[in-house]
Amino acid sequence: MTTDKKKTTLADYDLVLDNSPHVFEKWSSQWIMLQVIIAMLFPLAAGTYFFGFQTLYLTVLAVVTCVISEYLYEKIVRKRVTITDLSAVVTGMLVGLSMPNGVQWFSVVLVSLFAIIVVKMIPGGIGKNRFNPAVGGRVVYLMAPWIVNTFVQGEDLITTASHAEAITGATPWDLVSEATPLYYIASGAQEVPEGAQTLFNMFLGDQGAWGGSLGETSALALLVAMAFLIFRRIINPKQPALFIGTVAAIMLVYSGFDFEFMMYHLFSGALMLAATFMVTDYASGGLTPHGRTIFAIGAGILTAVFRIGWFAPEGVGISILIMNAIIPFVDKIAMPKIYGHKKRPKVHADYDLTEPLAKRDVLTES
Amino acid sequence: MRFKTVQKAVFPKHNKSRTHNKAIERVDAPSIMVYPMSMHLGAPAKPVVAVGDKVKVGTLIGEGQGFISAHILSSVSGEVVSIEERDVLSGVYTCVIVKNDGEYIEEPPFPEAGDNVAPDMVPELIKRAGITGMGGATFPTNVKMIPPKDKKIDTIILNGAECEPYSTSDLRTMIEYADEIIEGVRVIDEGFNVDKIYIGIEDNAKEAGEALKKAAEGYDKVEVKVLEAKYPQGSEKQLIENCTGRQVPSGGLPSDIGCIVSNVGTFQMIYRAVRLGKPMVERVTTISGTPIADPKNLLVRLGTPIDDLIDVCGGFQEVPRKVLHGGPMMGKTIKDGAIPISKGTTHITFMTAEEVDEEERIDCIRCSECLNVCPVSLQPILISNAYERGDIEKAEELGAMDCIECGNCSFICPSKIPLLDNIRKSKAAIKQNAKAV
Ligand code: SF4
Ligand code: SF4
Repeated sequence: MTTDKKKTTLADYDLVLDNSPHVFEKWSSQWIMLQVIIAMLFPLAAGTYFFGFQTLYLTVLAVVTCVISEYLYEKIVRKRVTITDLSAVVTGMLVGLSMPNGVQWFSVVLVSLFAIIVVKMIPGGIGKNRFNPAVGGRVVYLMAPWIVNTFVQGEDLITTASHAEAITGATPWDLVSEATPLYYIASGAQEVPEGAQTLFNMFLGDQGAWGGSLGETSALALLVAMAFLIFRRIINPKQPALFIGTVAAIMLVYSGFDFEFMMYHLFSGALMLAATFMVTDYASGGLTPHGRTIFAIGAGILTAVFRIGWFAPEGVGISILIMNAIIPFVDKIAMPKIYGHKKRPKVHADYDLTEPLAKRDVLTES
Repeated sequence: MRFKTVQKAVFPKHNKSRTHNKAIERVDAPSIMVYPMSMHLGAPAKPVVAVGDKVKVGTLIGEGQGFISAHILSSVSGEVVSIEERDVLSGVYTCVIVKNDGEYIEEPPFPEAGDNVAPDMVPELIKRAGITGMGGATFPTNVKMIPPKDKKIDTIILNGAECEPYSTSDLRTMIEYADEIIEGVRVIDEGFNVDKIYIGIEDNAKEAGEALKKAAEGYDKVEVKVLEAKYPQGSEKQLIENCTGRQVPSGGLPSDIGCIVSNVGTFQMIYRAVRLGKPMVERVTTISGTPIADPKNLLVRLGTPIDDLIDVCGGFQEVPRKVLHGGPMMGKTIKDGAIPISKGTTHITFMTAEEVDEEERIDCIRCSECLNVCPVSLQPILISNAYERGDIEKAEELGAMDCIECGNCSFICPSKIPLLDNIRKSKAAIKQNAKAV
């Protein structure tokens, strides 16, 4: 029998009632963004080492522009301010790292504005942007001179530019072009030309006279960043592996199994930067497991095709944007099979997969 | 740091160490016992006693109604003092309140019980003993043990994968009652003559595996499967797939694919009912959590109010903020200490205010984590989005009804979106719509 003296009862305590689960993983979206920012410090450091102080200063400028423009946009359209989720910082850093050596500061500001306002905020903000903001900004920027040259001035940039200096001279903007080193091996080349940097130097980040973007110069720094993100479980190694693997396989076959040629491709241009930070982007890289696989392989195929057959700079960025555009449809036909079901669930092609801006609660509405 | 070795699961902190090595301790029943007419899944039982009636241990006080239902038996001897409606966890049900006389006079054992019980008598004895699944879902066990007409049952699976944090009741039951559990398996095996018997345990319960292996020595069909400790390893469907590679069809039962699955404790109860003729009147329950001074594994008579178990476990060393019937992944919150231990009470978890962290929801970042952890391969965020758009039909097409409510999606979401809440609401709305038609 129990005694009556001072029995402990639940009635003496202030208890909460709610629904399961009652414990949560100790992490947050903000923490995830912070890990990506930490990872970007590696290429940022490498860029600063090879290209000097401008890398740091331009990246900071891009970050500041992105954060302020997101803040102002949200204030103006009266939305909840979301800059504390750090995603604008991530976009800003990626914009900074994507800019070519010698870029003017106002170009960085314009690209940042374009990335945040046009690509990210107008479609609805974080998680609702179909395209990767930084890639969108980068592609528009790098394509602009090419478009002007090709269609406005009526002359082809690439064919007139037989060497790096010619390209620099031919562009009305401050473009040195991330694609510079690539002109030697891309655009139809089938072997590594004379005078190229050694593979080892390319790997470390010294691209010699080949230039390159501020953050993409050192494959080593990018691989360290990638390893960090994989170790932190922020990205799934499947995506960079499939992307790089696809490009490598195609290049190997195209060059008649010239291993060196393939390695030059892997270490030059935006490939490693894209593999680490662009193909793995959450919002624009597909939702379903199959979708993400297809995204990585598709971006790899397109990148290789652009490098081999098309004379535009920025094959990687365009490839990613193309995949960004089609991946929502892929996600819809590649939905995972539910346990105990024989068929995949299906939704119409025009069904919107993103989180609704105005939320309803049907059960309590009635 | 979180290591995700296999997809489709999460790794909440086990928090089992405080009770892992504590032997089961029997507690005295208090003077007032509460018997809700629904301690099981299915139709509630109907009271068959009146105020003033004398009852013994094992006296039928609530009769199961319909096919899926279970009897409610008294677990003490004494007198019925009241029959009233009360809000107990699963809803408002009639409760029979018995004043315990402290004598524990027992009803005689079932006369048909013994070493040679005809197989078709087994479900009947299980029914009379009021046995339900003891892992939490409380499905009436006798229903599971009636052979399906057109299906051969070839596999028995014992569920000893206790994946909810804090719970060690199955672990201790397996260690201390291994022989009775294996004997219960033999009872069922005699009826079905299955090809294979699996005992699924998690790799943090190795001692239990050893004990069961020893008890099953020479019983060649039995295989102890040591599974990775992850959540929800003990979910019926996942356990079946892990042991046999088969999937239960959507809306179907394990028997559709030739399996009988039940919690380890349930087999112990089957042994007692069929061999000894004893009803299910008690169970092992873990009382644990940071606020509890001396957490324990208790052998509790069913119907014991939770309030009567706190002091047994040393009272509170910290102020509780949340009390859970079950564990933190699937448990239901309790406010009323008069709610009793029932057939499915694996454990009661107490949490402090610091452990009850409520973080602000932000927008989905589309990290896909909720897809990666859903054991039934749903796309929780899409169902949640459909619900928040008011598109109940779409929520159903995306498989809302297949959700096992394990909580993994809400657990993992870095943006703290109440995914399971929205899926539960979708289910409720789908059911409402189905009724309206
Ligand atoms: S886990 Fe949360 S943030 Fe990630 S995709 Fe699912 S709902 Fe979105
Ligand atoms: S959708 Fe249901 S089954 Fe899937 S993780 Fe969420 S709660 Fe579990």
